[in-house]
Amino acid sequence: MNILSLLRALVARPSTGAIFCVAVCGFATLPAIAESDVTPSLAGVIRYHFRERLEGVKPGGKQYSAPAYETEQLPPSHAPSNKEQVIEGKVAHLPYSFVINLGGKGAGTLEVKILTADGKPLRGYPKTVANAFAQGIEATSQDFEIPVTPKLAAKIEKGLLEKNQHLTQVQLVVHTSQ
Amino acid sequence: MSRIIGTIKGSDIIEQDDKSVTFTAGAQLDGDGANGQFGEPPCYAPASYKGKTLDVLANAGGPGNWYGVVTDTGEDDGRPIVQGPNDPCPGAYVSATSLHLPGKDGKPLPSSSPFKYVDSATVPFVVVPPKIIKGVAGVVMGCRAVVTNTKNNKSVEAVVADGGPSNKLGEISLACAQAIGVPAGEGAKYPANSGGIDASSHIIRYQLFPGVPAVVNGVTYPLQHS
Repeated sequence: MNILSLLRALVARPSTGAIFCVAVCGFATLPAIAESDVTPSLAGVIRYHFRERLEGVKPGGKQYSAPAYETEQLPPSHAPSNKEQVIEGKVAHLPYSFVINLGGKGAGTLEVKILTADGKPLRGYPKTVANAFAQGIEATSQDFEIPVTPKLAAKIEKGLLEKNQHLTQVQLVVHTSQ
Repeated sequence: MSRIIGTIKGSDIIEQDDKSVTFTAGAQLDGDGANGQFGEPPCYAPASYKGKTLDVLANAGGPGNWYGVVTDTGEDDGRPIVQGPNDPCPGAYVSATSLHLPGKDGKPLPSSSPFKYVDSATVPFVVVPPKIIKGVAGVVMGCRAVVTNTKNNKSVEAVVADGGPSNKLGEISLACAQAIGVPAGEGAKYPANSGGIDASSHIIRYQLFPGVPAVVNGVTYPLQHS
């Protein structure tokens, strides 16, 4: 008796057939449950918002450009466990360290820590958002304003922006990649 | 014969044989020009304003350096114009676009009028850098544009209504983003400060028709020499 005929015999009998179906369905649903339990990977982007003074504008015309931004990516997230995703790292134009954790403080909870060069928390941080990427609301991203001093703003303008461009705001955007 | 007008961060700006201008880019969001003209929130308002605004005030600058709102002197060190009791959003600032609209009588409106500017919240519009405005013979500001999201094939008729920085390509109004399925900061505190598609993604196709006045939602827009 080969494996196919054995299965056919099992399914043909009502009692064993029912057990067989339950077993097959159970195995089929296991991966789906496991996938939904896994915390999605995270991405973190710094947006440097600015406006540019436009040259050659006629009197009475709009002197500055529409707002725009440059970006810098934080390193990709890693998963210490199935329940947690963590981004740790820096970007070139900010003197801060970022530790962004999804799931470590409970399922769906996002915690953002920003540390200054001497290891102290940046003013207003850490910040925690419950159900940060829950479906049905603004599901895909969370934004955080990063305070910068005039001195740091000038340094960013010099190092990152172009002539006549003025930094208006620095923002961290965290989003899931699923 | 088609020619490349310029390249910005890897995107070629091409003038086609028919004189239309095409490029692909991402889609950053521009809330400028939203003053509640059609019942939607204004772009900017002082902290004392009770209603919702489309963008965080920092993106308009601050005292001494107002980059994004109309001031009483027309200079960035002037005082911001605040909408009055008969304006659409009393207490909010007046946010400008490069394209200026005439009054109902066809005459120019004062700079302080919220109706002088194109409403980002309700009008699909495109922002273009100086390179395009200066690079073609036809008038660009106020011209027809077609914006297509190549990821979902959604397309919208739009107007070129604002000027962007010299090194950026691919920026649209909130209404334009909503029309083609680009995240428009839905549910966010400041929609214009969220959402959009990164400039490097190249999934939004822009086609501009310099010299051809835009007709959007039944409104014909004026062509404006820069």
